[in-house]
Amino acid sequence: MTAQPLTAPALADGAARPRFELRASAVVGISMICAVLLLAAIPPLIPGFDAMAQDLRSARIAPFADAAHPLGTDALGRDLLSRVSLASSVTLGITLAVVCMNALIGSTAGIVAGYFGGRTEALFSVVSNTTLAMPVVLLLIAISAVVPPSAGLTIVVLGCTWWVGYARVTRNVASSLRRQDFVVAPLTQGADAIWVLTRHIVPNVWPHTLIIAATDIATIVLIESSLEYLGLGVQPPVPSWGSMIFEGQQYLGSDPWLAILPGLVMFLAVAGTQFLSQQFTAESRGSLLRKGGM
Amino acid sequence: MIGFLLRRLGLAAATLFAVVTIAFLLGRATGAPGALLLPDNATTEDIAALNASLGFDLPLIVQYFSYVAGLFAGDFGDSYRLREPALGLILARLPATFELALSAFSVGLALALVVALSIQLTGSRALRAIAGWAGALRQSVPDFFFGLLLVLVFSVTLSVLPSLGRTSPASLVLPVITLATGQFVMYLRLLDAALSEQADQDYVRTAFAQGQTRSTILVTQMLPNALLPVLGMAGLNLGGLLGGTVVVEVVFAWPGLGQLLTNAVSQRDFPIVQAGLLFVALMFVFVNIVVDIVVYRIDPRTSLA
Amino acid sequence: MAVLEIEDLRISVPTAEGARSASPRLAVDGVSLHVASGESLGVVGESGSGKSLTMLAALGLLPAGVRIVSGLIALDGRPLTGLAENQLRPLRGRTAAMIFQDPMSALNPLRSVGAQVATAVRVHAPELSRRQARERAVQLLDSVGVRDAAERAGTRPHQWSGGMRQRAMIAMAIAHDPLLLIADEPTTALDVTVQAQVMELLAEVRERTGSALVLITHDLGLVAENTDRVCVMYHGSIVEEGTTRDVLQSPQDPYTRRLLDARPEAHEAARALPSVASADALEIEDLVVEYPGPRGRPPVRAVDGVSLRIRSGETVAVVGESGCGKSSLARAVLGIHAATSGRISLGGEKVAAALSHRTARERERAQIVFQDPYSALDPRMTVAEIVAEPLRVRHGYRPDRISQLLADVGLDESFARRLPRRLSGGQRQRVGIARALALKPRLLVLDEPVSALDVSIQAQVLEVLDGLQREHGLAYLFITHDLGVVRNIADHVIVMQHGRIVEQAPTSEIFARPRHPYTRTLLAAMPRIDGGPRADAQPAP
Repeated sequence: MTAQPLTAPALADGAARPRFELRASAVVGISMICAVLLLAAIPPLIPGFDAMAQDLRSARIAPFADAAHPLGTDALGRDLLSRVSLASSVTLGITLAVVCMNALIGSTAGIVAGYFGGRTEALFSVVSNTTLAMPVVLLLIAISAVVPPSAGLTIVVLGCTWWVGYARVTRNVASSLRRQDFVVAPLTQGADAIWVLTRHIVPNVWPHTLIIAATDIATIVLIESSLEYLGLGVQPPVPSWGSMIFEGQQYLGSDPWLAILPGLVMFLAVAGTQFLSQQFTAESRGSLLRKGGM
Repeated sequence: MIGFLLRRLGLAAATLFAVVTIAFLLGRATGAPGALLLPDNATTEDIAALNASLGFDLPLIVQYFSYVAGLFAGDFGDSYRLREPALGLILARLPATFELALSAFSVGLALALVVALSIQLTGSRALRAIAGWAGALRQSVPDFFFGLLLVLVFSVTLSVLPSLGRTSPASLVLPVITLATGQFVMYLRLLDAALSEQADQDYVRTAFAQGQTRSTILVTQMLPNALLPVLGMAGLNLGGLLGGTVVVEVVFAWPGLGQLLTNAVSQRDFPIVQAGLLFVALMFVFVNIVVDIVVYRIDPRTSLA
Repeated sequence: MAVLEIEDLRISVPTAEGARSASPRLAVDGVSLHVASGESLGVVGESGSGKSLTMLAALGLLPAGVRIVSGLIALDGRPLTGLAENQLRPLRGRTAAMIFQDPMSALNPLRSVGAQVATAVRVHAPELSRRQARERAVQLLDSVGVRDAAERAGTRPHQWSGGMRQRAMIAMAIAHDPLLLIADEPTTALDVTVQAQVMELLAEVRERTGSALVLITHDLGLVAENTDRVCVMYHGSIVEEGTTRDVLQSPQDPYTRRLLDARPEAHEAARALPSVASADALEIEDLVVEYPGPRGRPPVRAVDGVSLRIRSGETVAVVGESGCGKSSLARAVLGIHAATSGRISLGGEKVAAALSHRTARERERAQIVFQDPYSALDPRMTVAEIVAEPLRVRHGYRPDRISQLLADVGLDESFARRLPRRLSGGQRQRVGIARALALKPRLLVLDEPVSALDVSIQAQVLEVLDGLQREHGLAYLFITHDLGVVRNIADHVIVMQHGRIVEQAPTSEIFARPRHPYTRTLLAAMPRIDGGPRADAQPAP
């Protein structure tokens, strides 16, 4: 056996880190999300933008009929383009706030429970199972009977109850990481728990958090708009996708556009996020098929 | 088994305790109901007297215990508006909600099973891709909007199906399709992932090596293993299903629990809301205990998550 | 007539992710072999040689994406190429049956073992009722030496031991008296004494049924004792074949010679005895390590009063089978799992039992190299960062030190920015060793450091370790189950069983004159290449 030092064989693509390839669905997703973001950002900059001004003489104008109201007006004569734009900003803002809260609370709880185990983990189990058992929508309905519904209330309640999904995954990851040898190694070298947590556990956990957050955005938007449809969450006259659809439902026969427009924008946002998150999820490949024969 | 059962029940008790406490605190946060119950020209002394007779001037702890005691006796409070026991009102609405929720669940799960098994047996990438895309599209709209679109197409444009109420068997169709498609997409995803994972397992290769047929292996060996995690998720998703049912009921004016609750919120009839919350939580806890026990019987290696 | 005939077989596999090549890779490239009726053929090679794929192809069990490009396969005279799935199925399990490596995952975890054997019976005997199939299953389990077969048949795989599960797999394989048995690394996952029992069972079963056997393995010793003929595979081709005795005793091909040479037990260590005046790197006295028992039960004693001493420059090997306590011993020395009682001294000074109670300086004195190269390195850190970490913890980072450490273990600069996923097992172990050396310890605890590596790589890593020991005067506490490795590198051997030391002696003594019955059993179970008589075996106590 030779004692020559080994040289690393050249890699096929010459890179030491894996290549990053964008999937077709991700491109579609990004475009959809950009469309919504533009819709939220641009109209407020155009003069004439007013989401609240009512003008009963110009009620229920069809879209593309009037230059002053490119997307038409609603039953109270309010400009739909402005309303949809504002609704987009509002909903996305709330969603972002909720997702950040959830990711932070959930990941921290999961990492702590998974890494320290023992009684911490037992406590975590009880708390998370209890939280899971609360039907969130009903809880919000119940609370809204007491505390006047508002965007802030929605953020707080969703933020405090929806974190369990993150926590479970991060707990499992942290727990299996804890048993890996590379987590034990620094301890034998003199490191303390903080070192291990910040340099080994967190960096290996947060990609999972990101993935969950990406898919969760869609979920939160859907839940939130359902709440707004029921009259909770953001209150009129501030528009939201859910409440606009509710208002438009009565005119489904005559002016379907009133309900369809906000729904379409919501679809773009949610579908876009879903397609984008497909970039990160592994494709299911397994199948029972063995094309027998040679 | 006994140990598992005891721990599981302990967990359930903790959950119920938390829910009951929250319900109680919320109830007390609305303030004493005296002013709501009496006519507008009642004097402050009358209101105070009514509140006292209802026990609202006692210390919070005492109120809590009498509340819990009342729950055990089946007293979930009385509706402010209708002066009837809230529990009765809720139970009267249950059949309609169950009809909707259970139909949607069964249809969704059955369809998902059929499609997932077909994907495995045929290995068809096309089928999996189509199902994936259709699923992504369906999951990109909330239930209420999807229901609205169905109404637009089938009731308004085609006038084939009714859009409101619970009048005929046909009126079940649109609400169930709305919910069931959502369930279908979710269970298909879960089943496909679970079955794919099983397909890569060594015991499947062993079964092949012994000469078993693909369909036999799929149904008798892979499916039970795959159903385990799916069952667990089904229990947890019950909360989501109920939430979805509530919303769909509003869309279609379906006379179920959801309608009752949302009306109660706007009318500030808190006892109904409170009772509804408790009842649903109870059902949820019960169903999950059953699911956990069934899973444990099939695979005693599972631990409480 | 040949039971199995393979002619010029070529099998392609999907290319690895990220690589762009026009033609798929050939994992099996022109393999021809034959197995006569009742004969036993060994197929030897390291991982990636294509030995498993060749035999999987014979049953039509290739995984998705893997295809036969060309070649002929004939089972019992009948050509298999071009057959449809429903024509192949009757052959599987009946004409040819397969025994896989890991019986734990090869059995369905949710069904009882008896039910699974019964299913194997009924596949090719559908006329049997369920009860009849169950009875036959119990008979089969009994015939392979499963005691109390009737009761145990109702239990699930995770309640059976590894050796028992493999017996159950054999029972399923012989259910229909196949003409050919294919065993793919059947004993790799088992303890050495159990290995011997399972191979004995296979031999006995073959005598009864007259089946031919193809034994796929990397273990030359196993081949030497259990096969009539052998072929050696390397990178998808057969490089040598012939009768077992010929190939093993007078190998023609350079690769075969390398394989034989790389076996650790091929070399007796030429070890310089450390001078008497060397300081103690490690001394332990009456060490006891306990683990909390399952709910309500008393704690389990993994290590029950062990004392030993290692001097600088010395290698002490601790051998035993799984469960003997050797790994717990290693972890207790380091403090990873605190010892319950007893005294541990590193470099002459007593240290606390728990890692968290030791000072940083004390921790420096003993470092560990882990068994599993795949969990020992943080997948998100480059090699340089991994090796640098201990230095950063102790605020002693210097870039030239990193290069020095890498050079010490035989890795050049080009490795520094690689991620672990781009390294082979042997390379990862080298990185692990470099990391362990960063703080200049006096004692290196090596927990089965080469068990997960191919034989030729093992030899390289052991050589690196040897060189380092000479250069730095390191003491090694070497945990292993492989007596061949022990013979190669150890000065002293400690044999453990059930948490206690049953024998300890210099290496040559242990091999020449083993005294304790358990030591003799271990040595007897060790397969020998030269076909010579085994060391005197005693029945296991």
